[in-house]
Amino acid sequence: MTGYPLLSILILQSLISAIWIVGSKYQRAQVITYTSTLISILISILIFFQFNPNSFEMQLTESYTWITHWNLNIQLGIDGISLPLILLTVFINAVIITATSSMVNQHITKYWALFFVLQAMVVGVFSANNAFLFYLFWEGMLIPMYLCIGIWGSNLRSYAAIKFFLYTFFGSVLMLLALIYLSIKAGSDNILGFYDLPLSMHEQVLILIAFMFVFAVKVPMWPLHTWLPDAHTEAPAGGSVILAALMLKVGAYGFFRFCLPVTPDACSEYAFVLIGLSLVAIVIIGLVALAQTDMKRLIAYSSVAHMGFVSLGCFIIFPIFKSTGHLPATHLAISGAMMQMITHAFGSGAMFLAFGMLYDQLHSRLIADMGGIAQIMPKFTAFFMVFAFTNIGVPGTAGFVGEFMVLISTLEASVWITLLAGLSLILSASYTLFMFKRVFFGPVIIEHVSHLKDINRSQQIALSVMTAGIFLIGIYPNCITHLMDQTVTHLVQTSLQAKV
Amino acid sequence: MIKSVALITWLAPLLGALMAGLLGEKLGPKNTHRFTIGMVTISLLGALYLSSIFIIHSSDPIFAKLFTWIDSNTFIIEIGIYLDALSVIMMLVVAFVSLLVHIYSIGYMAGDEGYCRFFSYVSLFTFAMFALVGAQNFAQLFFGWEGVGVVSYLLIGYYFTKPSAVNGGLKAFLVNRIGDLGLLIAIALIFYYVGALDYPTVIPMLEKFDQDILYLGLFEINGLTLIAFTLLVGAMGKSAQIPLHVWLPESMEGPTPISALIHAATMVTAGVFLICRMSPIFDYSPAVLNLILIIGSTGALFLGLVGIVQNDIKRIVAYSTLSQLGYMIAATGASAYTAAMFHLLMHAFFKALLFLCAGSVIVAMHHEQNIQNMGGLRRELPITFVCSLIGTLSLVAFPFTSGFYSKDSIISAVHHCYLPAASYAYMCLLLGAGATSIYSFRSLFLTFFGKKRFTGAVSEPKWQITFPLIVLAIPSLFLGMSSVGLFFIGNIFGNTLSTSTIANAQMKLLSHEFANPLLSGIDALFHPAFYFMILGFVITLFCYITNHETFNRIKPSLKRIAYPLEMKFGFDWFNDHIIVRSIIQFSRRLYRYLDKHVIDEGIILGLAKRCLQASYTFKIVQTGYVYHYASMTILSLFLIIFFVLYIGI
Repeated sequence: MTGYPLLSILILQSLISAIWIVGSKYQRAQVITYTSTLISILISILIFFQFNPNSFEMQLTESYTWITHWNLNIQLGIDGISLPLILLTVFINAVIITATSSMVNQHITKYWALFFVLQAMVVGVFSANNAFLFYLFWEGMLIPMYLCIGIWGSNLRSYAAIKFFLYTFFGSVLMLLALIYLSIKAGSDNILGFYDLPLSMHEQVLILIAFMFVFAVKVPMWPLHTWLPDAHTEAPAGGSVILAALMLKVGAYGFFRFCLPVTPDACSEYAFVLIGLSLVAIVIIGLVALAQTDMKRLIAYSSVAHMGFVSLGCFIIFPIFKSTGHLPATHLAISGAMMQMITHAFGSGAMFLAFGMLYDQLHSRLIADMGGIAQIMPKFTAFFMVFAFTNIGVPGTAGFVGEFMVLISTLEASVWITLLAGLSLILSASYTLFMFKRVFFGPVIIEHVSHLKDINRSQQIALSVMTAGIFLIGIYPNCITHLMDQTVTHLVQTSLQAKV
Repeated sequence: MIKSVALITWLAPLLGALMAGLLGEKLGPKNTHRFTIGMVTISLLGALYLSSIFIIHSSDPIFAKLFTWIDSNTFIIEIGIYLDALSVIMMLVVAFVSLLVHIYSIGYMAGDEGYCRFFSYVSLFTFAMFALVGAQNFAQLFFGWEGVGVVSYLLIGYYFTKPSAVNGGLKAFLVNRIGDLGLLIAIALIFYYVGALDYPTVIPMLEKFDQDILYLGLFEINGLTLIAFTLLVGAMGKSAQIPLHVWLPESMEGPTPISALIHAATMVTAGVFLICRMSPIFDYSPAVLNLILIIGSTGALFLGLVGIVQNDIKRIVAYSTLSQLGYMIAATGASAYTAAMFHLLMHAFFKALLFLCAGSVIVAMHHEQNIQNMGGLRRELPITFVCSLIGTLSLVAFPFTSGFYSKDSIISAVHHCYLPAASYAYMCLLLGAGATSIYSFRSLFLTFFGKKRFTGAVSEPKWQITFPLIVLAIPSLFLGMSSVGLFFIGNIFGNTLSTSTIANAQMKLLSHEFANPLLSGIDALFHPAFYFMILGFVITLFCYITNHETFNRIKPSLKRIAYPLEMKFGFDWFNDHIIVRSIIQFSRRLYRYLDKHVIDEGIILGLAKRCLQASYTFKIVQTGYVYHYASMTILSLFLIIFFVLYIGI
């Protein structure tokens, strides 16, 4: 199987399926949808087996000429950072398609097609080795997401869709400028070529600012997070899951792919600002989540708070290196941040998915409209409890791994950072279980709740798959860390080498 | 062989939990309890086998590895069971009490809607507790630590339609999480110093850092002191020490069998276990030892006093647990780690016994828990009464009972401790012995003696309930006398506990004092603790049996003294009204003003609004009339020519 262009096959397959689905009638579209989901999974499994975890180099590389006039190529390839994210993308997409189709009551074929376009774009972002290809996929992601919120969202969908689009589009121009500048300087737009580019401090700072405007919005880092609660609450269940599980990750992926290796000195210089913002996200947003009365908004804020650990783990390596010169701890921090990216998909993503199933019957997002659901929907409650525990970061579930790794590495920089970030232990438990209590426990007060039905078979399967993922990562995180070990080591070395 | 036995012992309850939880409905209640009990029996047999190796033959520590949790660069964590005297003894106790609680639950939970769920949780708890005590590294310890917390949360909130139960569970989890934060920081500090998390590497390596100073910005602190302090915070959460004790009384909302297992015998002693496990580190930090002495002994006295005014039969036992945990913690503060472990084990038996007796009474009384509505039950419930009496005697440290040996060893260890806080601690522990005696006998008298204060018939519950009582009564009575020599003279823990000079001096003292168990029982007559206990007994006898009328007459005047006790010293009030309320208000304000008002509406939407306004302003120019555009063009043309000609760009 070596030598097949698996990455482009995966991207093209998703795109072709999308077009085919739109052009077909419902019955046939359904068959195509599920078959292509299976094919995507198969291709990603092949990619997984082709990948050699003992190398930090780009693998499964492909190169095609694109626009000869401007010397632009299409280069694809993956390393240990992008592979887990590509697997995650295909996995989450499959779960969304199986679980949320029954919740959509109009334009179902277009809904399916949209998610295949999204899958193509997100896989493209994670596998692009060219700056312009990356940019193309990056912008390409926005359109299906915008449509998803705008068409299938709830009442305030058009406001949320526009807010989402403008907010995330805003920084893109700056990123494009930065990419053009880097490409001209490097002579080609290959991203790996940017890494050894000698850049002055001044250049690095400007480039970092440009990158930050786009990546920090996506992650999102405080105070650029306010698009997220609106987008999440108004999006349909599938859209929320994609947002939480994948769209936020591309922002953090940008940190690893661009910010750290391209502008290491600027990152090092301003690490304290970025760490500060991450801590604010963890603590302040954690508190804000506590005050929510809308269940979906609460999950959205908790999602922001958890992503704080990704940016924290990402930028903490500079103070660690400065204060101790200790490489293993920086490796731990970056691996922890990477783990957190993946496990966050199983925490917030799974909670959004489960919430979608509840909303489908209840048609209300307010916590006050619920209560006592545990009696009516025992199976659903059991699943949600697992998701709540992974959101809290209980050991043995996925949510623990990333947070634990980041937290114990931060101490090498300062005890105070660990203490502040560690408050998340208490805060996440507070808002999650406080919500859980109000939604699921207690007597049934609202009459509407007593008419709910427990989840059906296909929903159970989708949630079981998520649960299996949660426990697999929680009990055996090595299955992911060993994929990225070499790449992380390499990344840490490039990021801690001063360019100036 | 040993390794596979250890792993089977650990994993059998997990299998039971999974079967009961996932297939319980299909299996039916009878098969579910059979299966889970079978699994726990396997654990008990395994634990017996292991203890025969590690206690009788005192083998070297063995690590039975199951798999590698993570192996990333230098961060390697292995999961399995670490076997030494300390972990094996804990496993034995956990398996023993767990098995009895499983059997007891057949009777206690009969007919309950969530029967299988209950058994699943209890087995899961057993598994998590094994993970905690058998951890080889701090990551697995943290897994067990949080795991038992989660199961405790689930079991306290077992009756999830009852708001008080749900709130109790939530409170327990959150308060425990404060302690967990302490433990997590301790783990991070250890990783910072040692670069590894497994005990065999950590403890010898850490001892080399006893002079290391950590700069914390505002102040500086000895690294080991900070580690010991943060570990103590962790222990305080789980072992319910002041001020993190508030969750334990509320945990009584759960079913009684789990109160016996989790909130008396095993989980709450995890903090004591942790301190003993890390005892070499604690011995390097006298400041923290002083703090431990103060916290432990204060809890031992004052929380015992609160127990005197309680009327719920389970809450009395809960406050008694708080007080006894205080004794254990105080013992660790005096570097008498063996005494702390000894009391932990004896307490596991007699406190589990007392809880299960309380449960038996509750079942017999058709779920009445107020002791003011009981009375005279000794004739109807003879087995429960005798077992309660044995448990009570052991709890108040009546000579020759198990509790006597363990508690007396703690009191004399604290008495002979040279730390500045030791004299305060000694006073508290002595007075605490009196308080223990008062609340224990009060509960016993009000429940089993005097007149009946209820209507209806009561009878002894089924054998599943009484059998565990009898089994537990035996060790509560005799185990202390028979094993005290093993602990203090035989030194079963060897060098798994600290071997510092102070710890060794304490061991020597205790081995001297308990050289002959019979003689030391008689020796109690020369110890003040004995007289405090007798004093408590006499007071209670006077108040509730012989001169009940006189007591009732002077009761109103005692109200004022009892007020702080009834308020539980205001901890609950402070937490609910000050801490929780202010956090919730603060979070609401943060959301409303900072997040919504300033960032979203102020900056982001404000920016959008400005853009919109600007575009309206420029709209005026776009009139759509051709002559406006034409005149504009001509005017611009003139301006351009003017600039080009005169300024010459």
